[in-house]
Amino acid sequence: MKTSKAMTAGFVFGILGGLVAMFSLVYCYYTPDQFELMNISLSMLSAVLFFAIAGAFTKTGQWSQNILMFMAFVTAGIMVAGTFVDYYPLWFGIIETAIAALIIAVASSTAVKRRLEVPLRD
Amino acid sequence: MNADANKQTAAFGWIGIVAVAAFIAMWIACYAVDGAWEWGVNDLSDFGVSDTGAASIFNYGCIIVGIVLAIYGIGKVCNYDTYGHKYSGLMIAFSGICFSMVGVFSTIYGNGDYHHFFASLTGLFLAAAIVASSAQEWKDGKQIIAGIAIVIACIVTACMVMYPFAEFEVWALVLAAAWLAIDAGYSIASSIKGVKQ
Repeated sequence: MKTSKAMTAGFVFGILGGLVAMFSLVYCYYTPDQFELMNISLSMLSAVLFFAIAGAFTKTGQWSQNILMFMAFVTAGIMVAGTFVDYYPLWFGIIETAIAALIIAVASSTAVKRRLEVPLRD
Repeated sequence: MNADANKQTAAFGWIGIVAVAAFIAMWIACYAVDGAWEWGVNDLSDFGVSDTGAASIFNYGCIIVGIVLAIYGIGKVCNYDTYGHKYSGLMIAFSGICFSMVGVFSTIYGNGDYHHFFASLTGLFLAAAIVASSAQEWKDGKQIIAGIAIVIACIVTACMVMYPFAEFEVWALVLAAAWLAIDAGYSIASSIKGVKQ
């Protein structure tokens, strides 16, 4: 995969994950639940994490590839764990976990690794 | 790593797989004998004080699984050169010894203090082993393998917050067993490929 394409793919997946999380936030607000506040907070947390990851795939990204991978795994972990203990609706958990897995796959590619190690070269 | 060392690492990897398989078999056998045990309601330790034959299966099973786990840990210490893996192996060995003690001291022995002491130590040593091994894998650039431990840690934390202790305990044990199986499986796979440890 070309460097720019890999970076764009990572960015798009991050934004997509964030947008789905925002949608879930609204969905949780209008769905009465015993843990409503917790559900909304966790949806907000996942939106923040996905948007932060999207930012890392830009030209002036804030993280090295190592930190990006760590954050991607933390995000995937929170999605899986949240779905596992029923904090997140199942559909949301499945979509977000799949997006997080795609981000991990893109972030572990050599193209992204090379790009984030030498950020200002191309 | 030479061919003999590769074979040795693979052999110890298989011992790890046997430990996990023995643990699962013990659990299933206990459940088959004592049908009153309920997932998420009873502690796993309740098998140890069951009126049925599940008590013997659980107590002897813990001793056997603990010994096999300790052998796997010692094998990891002997066969890896890196500090993180050696430390992880040592922690797995300690964890195995403590797990054997869980079988020796049931919850009725001394008000269950010994049992809970060794059960808590088993969990703590295993958690230390997971952290050490994953940190080493991450340092070696094997981020995907190390990342699995991050996901497992998130699930265990969520279970701890959300579920009562009995349910948290069984999920934590299932996830720890899954990690051990992955770790042992990776040892076997890397030794077959001849990847440098």
